[in-house]
Amino acid sequence: MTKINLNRLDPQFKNRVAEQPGGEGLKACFACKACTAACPIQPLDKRYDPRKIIRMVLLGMKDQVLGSDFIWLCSSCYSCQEVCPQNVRFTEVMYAIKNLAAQEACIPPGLMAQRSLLRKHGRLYEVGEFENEKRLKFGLPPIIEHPEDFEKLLPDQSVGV
Amino acid sequence: MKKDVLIVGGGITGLSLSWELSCLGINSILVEKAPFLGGHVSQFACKATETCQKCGACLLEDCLSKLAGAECSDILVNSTIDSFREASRKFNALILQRQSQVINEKCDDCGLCSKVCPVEGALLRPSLDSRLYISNNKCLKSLGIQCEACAQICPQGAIELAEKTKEIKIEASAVAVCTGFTPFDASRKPRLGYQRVPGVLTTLELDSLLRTGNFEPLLPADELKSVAFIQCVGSRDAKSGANYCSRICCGVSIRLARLLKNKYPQAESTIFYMDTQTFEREFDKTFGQAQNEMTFVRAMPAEIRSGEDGRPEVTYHGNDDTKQKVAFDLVILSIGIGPRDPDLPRSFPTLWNNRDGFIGSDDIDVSGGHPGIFVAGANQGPKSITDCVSQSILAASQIKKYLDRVKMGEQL
Repeated sequence: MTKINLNRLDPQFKNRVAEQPGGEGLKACFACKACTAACPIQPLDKRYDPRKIIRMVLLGMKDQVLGSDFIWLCSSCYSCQEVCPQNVRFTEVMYAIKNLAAQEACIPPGLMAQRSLLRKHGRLYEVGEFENEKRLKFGLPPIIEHPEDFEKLLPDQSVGV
Repeated sequence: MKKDVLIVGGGITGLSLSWELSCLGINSILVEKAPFLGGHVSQFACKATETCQKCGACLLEDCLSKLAGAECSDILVNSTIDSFREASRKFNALILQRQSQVINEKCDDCGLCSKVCPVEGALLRPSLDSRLYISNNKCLKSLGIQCEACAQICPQGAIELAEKTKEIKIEASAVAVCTGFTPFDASRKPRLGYQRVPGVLTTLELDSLLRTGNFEPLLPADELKSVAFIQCVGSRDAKSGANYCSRICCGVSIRLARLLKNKYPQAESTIFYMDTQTFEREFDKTFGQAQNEMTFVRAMPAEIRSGEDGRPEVTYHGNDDTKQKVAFDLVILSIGIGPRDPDLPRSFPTLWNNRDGFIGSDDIDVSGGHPGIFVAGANQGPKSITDCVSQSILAASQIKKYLDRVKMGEQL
């Protein structure tokens, strides 16, 4: 069992999450464990436990939640949301937590690499001459990358803006 | 017909109210839609093991036997209120009573009609009453389909399917609405497998199977080894619009688990719960003892599926922090109490709307929001049988107070 240092808890953290779009239902949780039982990720990585993440947020364990890498494991399958009797909408809560993590610049490097790819190419995988030649053989039109819109959406390398 | 009080609904609250009023010397007439009395309580089994478990199911028989001797309580079954009018503190109601389609004097109980009837449940024999009834919302003839199988086969000519109604006019000074509740429809939670997975029942179904004695033939004595009870199905459930505690289900499940253990000594019960509620005074003691008799798991199952061996398999997150899939012989969904539309004519005064679809006041009070109209029982909010009876006693005294004031000509 991990020790919790009360001095490092942030009592306002739960309110910050609840204020985010999607985080509204957070405080209605009864801790009934239906979400955890439905989650396909939890059996693979014990740290990703929806019920425990909600408890951590309610306790104010901001650093342990936002600074962790397990919050990025959510597969967005919405199983937890489907089984929740209290309408907590946990998948949406996860988005809220991830948005806050991005604001605090706690994004895993892999996701940052994806972001720069998106900014540069307008898609997550670069389409070069090789791919377009292959497409031509199959009679498909070539793909032209339009990164301009994404440059506007993701203005520079700083995050959370 | 002139009466002091018109009681709508012949469940435990209405019947008990009728008796309490007659004790106070007040005339009442009770109108019940179904062909038999007792409502939901008539389906409940006595849950006594070696000792009484205080479930309250016997209070109905108690009440009915007391009423049989009461002089100023009239009862109309098979009846609905067709129209309703209020004039100078008097309520005029027109009651339509469907005449019984089975002539009891001729019926010799041969059972041929039940055998030929194509619809299950159209021919009813409520356990409280040995007479046979035809259920009007299930009988094909009453739904407009030409089927007279039962009438044709009856050797005694005891079944007359042509519908006959009788009109009864009633003038009453007060009305008590005791229309009861709707049990939560467990099929609204498809992941719990109700009506999809064999072996998944509701508490209400188990109760009525035990009452009618149809449960034992279903499962041989040595085949029931594990039973799971799933609590809060349709209670504390904001998603299903039932964000309240139904107050009775924890007690019902514990009592049923004990009753099953008593009948099948090798049957082990597991109760999946998220929060046990202690409304009854003795509940802490009951709960403490129950923890030694059965397993309590604080987890709501994610889903119930048919397992490889055909038994229902419950997926939940266990106390050891791992996902568990456990097969049970029987899974019982502990369904909650939902509101019920009182089904009154449009001209009936508007009743107070309580929260979550229940009617009347949202505390102990029995007033309905209109002078002379009272609301009592489970239509006012989830209640146990004993709570319904005690509220009917309160309603009787409130009605007496109201009638006295009307008699004195007081301003209301």
